[in-house]
Amino acid sequence: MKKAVLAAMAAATLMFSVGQAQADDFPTHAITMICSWGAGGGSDAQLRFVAGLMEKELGQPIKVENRTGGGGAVGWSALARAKPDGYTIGQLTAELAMDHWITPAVTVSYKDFDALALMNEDAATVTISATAPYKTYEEFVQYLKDNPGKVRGGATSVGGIWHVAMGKWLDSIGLPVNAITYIPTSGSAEAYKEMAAGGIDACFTSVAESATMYKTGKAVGLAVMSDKRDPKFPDIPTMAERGTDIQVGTWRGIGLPKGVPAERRAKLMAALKKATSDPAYLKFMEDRGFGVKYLEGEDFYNYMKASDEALGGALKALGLAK
Amino acid sequence: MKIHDALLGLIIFVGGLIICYVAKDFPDQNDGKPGPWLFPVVLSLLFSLSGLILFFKKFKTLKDRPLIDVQDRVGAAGMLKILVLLSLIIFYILTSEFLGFLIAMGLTMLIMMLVLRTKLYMALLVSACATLGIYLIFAKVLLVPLPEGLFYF
Amino acid sequence: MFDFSVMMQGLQSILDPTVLMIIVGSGLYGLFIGAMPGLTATMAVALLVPITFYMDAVPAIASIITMSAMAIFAGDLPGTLLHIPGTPSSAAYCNDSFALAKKGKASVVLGVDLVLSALGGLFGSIILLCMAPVLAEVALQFSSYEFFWLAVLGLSCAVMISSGSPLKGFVSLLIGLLVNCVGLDITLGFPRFTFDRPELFEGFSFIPAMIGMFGIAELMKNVSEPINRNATMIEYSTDIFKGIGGVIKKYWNQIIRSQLIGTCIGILPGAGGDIAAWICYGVAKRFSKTPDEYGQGTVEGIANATTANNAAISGAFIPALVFGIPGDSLTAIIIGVLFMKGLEPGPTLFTNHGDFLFAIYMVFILANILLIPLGYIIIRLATKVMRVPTNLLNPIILGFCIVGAYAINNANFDIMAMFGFGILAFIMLKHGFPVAPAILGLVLGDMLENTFMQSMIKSEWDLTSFFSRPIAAILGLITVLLWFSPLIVKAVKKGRKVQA
Repeated sequence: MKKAVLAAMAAATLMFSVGQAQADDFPTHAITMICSWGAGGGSDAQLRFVAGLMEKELGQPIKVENRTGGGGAVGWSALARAKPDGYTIGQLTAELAMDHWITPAVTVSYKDFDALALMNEDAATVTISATAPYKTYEEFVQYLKDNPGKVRGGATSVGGIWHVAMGKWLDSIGLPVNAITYIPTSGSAEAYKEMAAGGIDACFTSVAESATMYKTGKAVGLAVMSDKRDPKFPDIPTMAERGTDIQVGTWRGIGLPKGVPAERRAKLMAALKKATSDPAYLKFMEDRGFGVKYLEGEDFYNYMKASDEALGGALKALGLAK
Repeated sequence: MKIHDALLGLIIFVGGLIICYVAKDFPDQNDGKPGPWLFPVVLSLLFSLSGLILFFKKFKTLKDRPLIDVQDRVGAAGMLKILVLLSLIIFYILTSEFLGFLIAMGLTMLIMMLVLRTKLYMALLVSACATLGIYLIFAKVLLVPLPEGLFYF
Repeated sequence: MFDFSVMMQGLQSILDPTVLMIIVGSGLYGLFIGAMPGLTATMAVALLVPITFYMDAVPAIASIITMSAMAIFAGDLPGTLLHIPGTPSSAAYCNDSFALAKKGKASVVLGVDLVLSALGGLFGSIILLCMAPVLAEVALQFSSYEFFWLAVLGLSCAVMISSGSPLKGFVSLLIGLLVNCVGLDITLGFPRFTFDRPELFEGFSFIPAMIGMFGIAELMKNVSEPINRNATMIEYSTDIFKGIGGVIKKYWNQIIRSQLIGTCIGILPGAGGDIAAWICYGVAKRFSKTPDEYGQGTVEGIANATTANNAAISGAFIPALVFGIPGDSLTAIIIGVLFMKGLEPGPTLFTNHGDFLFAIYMVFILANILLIPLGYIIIRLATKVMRVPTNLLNPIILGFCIVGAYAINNANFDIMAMFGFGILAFIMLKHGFPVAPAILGLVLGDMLENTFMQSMIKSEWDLTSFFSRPIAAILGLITVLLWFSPLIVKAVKKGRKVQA
């Protein structure tokens, strides 16, 4: 029911904005968009691109503010505390569903926000070094079973999304989490640097992050943890095809502090929808290798809720949730 | 104000032990190998040890110089100005969200200039121009979201 | 390596008037950003990226390259004139530049900075042009063991570069390393000394700490001095290029050494211009005939370090172009832009897009040549700062410090951190503790701990593994030799005397 009302309202505002002036001529001044990650990273690039397109729709400038720190918690806390007048919006990412499980000091979670829309989802992969003694998926699994703890895996810091992906995958094939020794790194770039130097044997990063390593022949992708194959690397099978149905990925969306008037929310949502269906945006996402997935309002909220529960469970299994 | 090196050595020694005391409760790795505690504990022990060496090296000069030398080049007037400088930073942190960048920063610079005995008209003029200049560079050209206060600037 | 026709194509694409204009424009932008303490080249590039969406590939990448090359040099300007390094890469020799500026030699120092930065950059570019693919393969042999030694090598320089008591230098280094322990630990994500403040989870940001330790400490010293109204800094010589020939002639072999070390460090993903500058400064001091001058104003040290940080810039592009592995946030952005333009980094870039690659190399060379005239203008403008009376200048610097610290994360918390580090540095300086080792501890602390823990987890706590790989063993040996070189030199001298 709620969804229907929202959809109707979105449609109404869209028609309205094409038509005449309205009661609430939101926005009348610049909108602030909070990014919890540093300028120049993938999350920031995506947000800035969307902001540029939304500006055109809303007729007001959008300032992207990078409020970094605390694994994203600093930016999200600022967003949750912002005045709910629609002039402050921000990016929500998968780490929102993880930080509060790992660190008790982080209290901010998906419950503190109204969802606007999910824009992107990148699935994890199982990627092995090209110089490894095992070449195929089956060989790799067998090697893990025969040599517990011998394989060194990596991709992010401990408790990062790709660490969780590794834990869930090992669990799904019936192996304990310490079947792979996890080497914490600061991110996928460092992990691949280590892989090239022979320090790490397996990575669990997204396809986008692994793409150049595949192309340069330094790494081999064995499976994607998604329900469909990646269009850029159609040769890599999904987990379901490998006989175990798990899906783990990172996601990015846009949210609002709780309590923004419904009319303004609908307006922002309409602008976001228009921006994310723009061909320039779709081309950007494809060029950078980001997976496009769009879910609006309530659907996005439920998606975050499900993700929060799944990731929380996985972190507990890894012994990282407090 | 200057503290005698031997006393400083003791302070470093005790400080290092305190850090070590806090850090020793950090956990192990899940498999029982050294974990997050390793670096802070080792570093703080080295820190303590350095303090101890400093203490013994300078122990002999303890009677030559006072433990805390209040008399030095800076003097009371200088200390006062340092305090003003530091309080102005705190003043800016506390008021910038409320007053907005332009007013908070303008006041900060103005007061500092007056304390350094600038003529009032000069201080008003330069602090206003400098604040505006910084605002234009950072907020307008480089899009740094400087705090907007009550009046939206 | 390149066909003549490919080279011509590449040249044509950068000799286009619009491209040249974009290069000059972004050069000026880079100089400006670098000269502002607190504004990093990464931030500037992130702001530039939305504009590059609307450019072709060559001008887009050209603008980023030019900007970053200029920004590194411009970081020397506030370091020399105000004792606040504009970028972390300038922190190594900030004390020396400022000491010389106080003696009225600001223009001369900046002239040396400018010319040697350009030479360093050119050297790095030529290495990039000639041997990128080969070097990238070598760089990729560096795993956590090798990076650990690199961090130790850098930290050894800290104690070497500290003037005065080595014990106090060591304490200062430990302060830097201990501060670095604040935040989530890498092995378990355990919050250390964070007092439950999310702002501290990733530790203290380096830029506010640097502004505090140099800028605020300097301000505290300045305002406490008796007021001499209308006092300005003296300036004996305004001829920027005076004496530069002499400097190059005198130190040519050291300059080449630093160019080599700088480029090599730059190539390693994750190590950059800042580490290169510190190591070259430390090495120069170790082999100097006048090590006492270091920290008090040595042209020799400045010459070495300023060469190294610019040489490192082009090095960082090597693993990025050949394997798509970014060494720092700047090259990460560039990889993103390359993807956007349909030019995926990797071997295909070398086989299919030779003209583009050649154009990039040419941009590096052009940017470094352009650095001289643009840098000359900016030095001329910047040295005017010295004519501003101190009673007006100090409050304005205070303003820039506050905004600079704020701008890195857009948070008042960082102004607070700057405040704390400023007081700490002031107290340290007053009691004869050098600040530079603490700064280096902050720069390298993460690398030291992370690579140590990674190596230990990988090798299951086998300490000999640090010598188990050839490159690691060599680096370890160099470090140990550097530690004991004074002893060895002494022993050799003694031996000779005995013989005589």
